[in-house]
Amino acid sequence: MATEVQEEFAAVSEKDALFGTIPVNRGDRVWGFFDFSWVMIGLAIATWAFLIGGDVVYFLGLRAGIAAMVVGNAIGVGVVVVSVLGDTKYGLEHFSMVRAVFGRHGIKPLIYIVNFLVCIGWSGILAVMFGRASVNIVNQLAGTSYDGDHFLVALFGLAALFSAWLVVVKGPVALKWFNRIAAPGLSVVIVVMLFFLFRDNSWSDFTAIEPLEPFGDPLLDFVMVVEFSIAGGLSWWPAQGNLSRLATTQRSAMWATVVGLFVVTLIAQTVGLMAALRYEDSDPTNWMIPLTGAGFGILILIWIGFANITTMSVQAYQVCVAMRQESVKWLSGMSWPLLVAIFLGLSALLLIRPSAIYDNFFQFLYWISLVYAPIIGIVIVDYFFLRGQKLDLWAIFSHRPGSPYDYWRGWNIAAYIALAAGVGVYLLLLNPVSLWYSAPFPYMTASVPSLLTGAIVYLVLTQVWVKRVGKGGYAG
Amino acid sequence: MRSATFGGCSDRGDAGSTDARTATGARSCRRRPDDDVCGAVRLAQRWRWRRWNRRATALGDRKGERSQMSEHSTGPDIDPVLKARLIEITDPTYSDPARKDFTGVDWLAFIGFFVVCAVGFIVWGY
Repeated sequence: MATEVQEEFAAVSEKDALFGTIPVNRGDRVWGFFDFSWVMIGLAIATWAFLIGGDVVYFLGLRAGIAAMVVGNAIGVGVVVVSVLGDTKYGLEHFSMVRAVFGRHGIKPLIYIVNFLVCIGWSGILAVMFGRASVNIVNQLAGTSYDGDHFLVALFGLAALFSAWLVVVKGPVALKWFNRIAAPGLSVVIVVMLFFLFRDNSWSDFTAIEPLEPFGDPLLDFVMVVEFSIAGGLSWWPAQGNLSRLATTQRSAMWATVVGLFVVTLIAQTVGLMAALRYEDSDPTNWMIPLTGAGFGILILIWIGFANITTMSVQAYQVCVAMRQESVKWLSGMSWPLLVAIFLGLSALLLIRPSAIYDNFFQFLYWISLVYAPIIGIVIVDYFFLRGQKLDLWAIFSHRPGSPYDYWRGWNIAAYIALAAGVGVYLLLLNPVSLWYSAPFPYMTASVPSLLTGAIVYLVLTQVWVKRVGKGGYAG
Repeated sequence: MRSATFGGCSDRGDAGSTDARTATGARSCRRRPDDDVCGAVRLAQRWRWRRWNRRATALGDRKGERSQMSEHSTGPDIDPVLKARLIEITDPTYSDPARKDFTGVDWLAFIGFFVVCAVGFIVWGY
């Protein structure tokens, strides 16, 4: 009987860890370096990578474009990797770890507003892209000329969301196997595309092609690309946190992320840029078939659609796990398939008018960076400089007033002041709606000063205020 | 987390108790109290809840202490499944390769890689 109880208990613990916010233990960690690399590669090679690469064509040519993407991704991915090391170390669901910074109630706006909207936006964009790729296949096969807002786009998008639901309800093990199939195939896709790109063109042909609509100031054009490359990297922050907790070591999590989200993403973005330069069109769904011919083009579009499902699944998994905070009982008790269905169902609303989100992709990226950059700065300074990489796991999950991470009735006011300061600095440098920028922007980007502002303000406030009033459980 | 997964019933004995071992109270049920199915589920959950609590408490007794972790939160406000997991992973004898922080060489390799890439590509491309 005792053994039965232990087994049942262990099974429930594992289930709650993989589908909820219970910290994972050594046995729950399912991804070594190899598997985690494939997960990251699957995340990296989706249509969004080709789209970001393709959009560089408006500002920069090939060489400068690659350089700007490298710089932007190095910053974006670099800070994201560092900021989620605590998730790997303690096996924590990402927003559970961030609770130590923002407080048990303070974390809720980040989960239920910021992260939720960001993930709905991403899933919607990927579903629209899947739909548009599918409609291009239909146009090719049936000789039709349906546009990007045709109802078939929404229909195929819904099919993509449903496929993502099928994957996510099975949890991270299904994600692992899905990626083991999708990611190697996508690597082949990139090689095939490179082959076709270089079949009729040389490297010097590509470098000779001018960008489509540059500002005319080389530095400004360069930094514009750096900025949205940073934003692309930062946008994976919550997903990265929730995925890396399943990695076996911090080192494997870091290098697998570097391989996937940095190296492979850059390759995919470069391929996207080259194709966009060649066809003077930033939309990857439009140049796949002209690039490789009907046969290969259709196959590639199908496989890329498959990869989009991978990315949607990762997003849906992380956001649904985050929403199952144990302090929100009606969500933590909701069945996993239903929770995933609700999230993906809301993403489907964006399919009502596909171009609304698709054509505002850049604003979407800048909005993400506006909020995530200062938060990441705050988390890094808290975990590394204020806590010395040590977290009180009991306090993270405590609901008692006066517990170390309770701060002020569950809210860390200092963190929100720092966040507001970081957002303010970003807005002073770049407006994500109008894309207006101030004079210092070309020299410093908007995300980096915003991140640093959030970090410094939080560090100062904690030292002179939070620690002195005995909040936050900081040593000394 | 653990509770309220069956038919809209919730049976968390978490609030208002000072002893986790006695935290078994049926909290709420969206169905009518005389609903047989709901009642059966609630009974089953209560039984499981007791066992988990005993198991969690037994684990805690055996491990003895919470190492360097806070004592604020060892009370009844934590779900027993979560509590058992926390007892396990905060035990001083718990071993997990993921707990090993980066060494200086790791940081050097990580930061150096990105810096070299960024500077190298700026020189090459800009």
